Amino acid sequence: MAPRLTVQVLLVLQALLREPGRELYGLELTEETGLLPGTAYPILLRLENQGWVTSRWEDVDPRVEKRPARRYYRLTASGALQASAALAGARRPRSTALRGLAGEGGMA
Amino acid sequence: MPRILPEIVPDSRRRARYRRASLITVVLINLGIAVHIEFFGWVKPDGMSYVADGFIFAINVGVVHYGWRAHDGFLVRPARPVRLVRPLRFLRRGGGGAAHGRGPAARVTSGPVIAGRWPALRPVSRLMPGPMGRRWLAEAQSLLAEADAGQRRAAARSYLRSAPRLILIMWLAELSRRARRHLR
Repeated sequence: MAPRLTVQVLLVLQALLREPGRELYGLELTEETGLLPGTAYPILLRLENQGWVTSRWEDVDPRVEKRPARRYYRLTASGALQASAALAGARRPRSTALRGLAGEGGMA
Repeated sequence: MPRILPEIVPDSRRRARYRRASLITVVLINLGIAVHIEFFGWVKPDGMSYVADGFIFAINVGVVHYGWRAHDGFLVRPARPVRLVRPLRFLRRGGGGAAHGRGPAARVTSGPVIAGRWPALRPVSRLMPGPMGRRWLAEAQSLLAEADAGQRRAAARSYLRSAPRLILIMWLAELSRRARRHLR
């Protein structure tokens, strides 16, 4: 089942799709999308439950790194395909609508 | 830029348990004294009462001094990131340490959790189903530890604000998962 494609979901997908193989952790993702972590987290959880995204804990020693381990997210192969399709689908109606408006303007 | 955390205060679980036990003992002793004074008035001073007073005073000073040095957030909210010590055993859920929310394999090898200044996150995570709550907490702590000072407050607030909905979603998912397993 596809997730509900809200603007926030599309922003997350867009950030993850920028470099599909690259893993992003929470803070990076919030910086790239401009979303607050409280908004981004449920979206990532939902995308992960639906198999679009996969995640893993960073394997570091917090005492050595002097920071807690990060959780990295990346798109799965099928998730990347579905996300590209979803983003393309989301862009299309807007451009169609704009063309329609331009057409109406031209008629007047 | 990642915020560099100060060194984690090293401590063992046993020491933390002793510290809790001694703090509770001191509270109980002082409560006992307060109740005694309330109902029976001041004890007429004699040789033995001075010994008892000295003993109680020494315990109080020792525990307060030790507790202050350890600074584990039991009584005083930590002013800097320290190792998490959970005050009550019955509130514990699963393993702890840096492996919080990272599954049993991680728990064996990982060091302690780095706790920040977000004490509200922990009780909220306990309202979520076990592993999901631990993961949410670990991720929130991880992000907040690295966020800039300016962003941190807004980020923590956003985590807390989204929590009620998340709790509901998580429990619905957990219940449906359990129901499916039960039906099979």
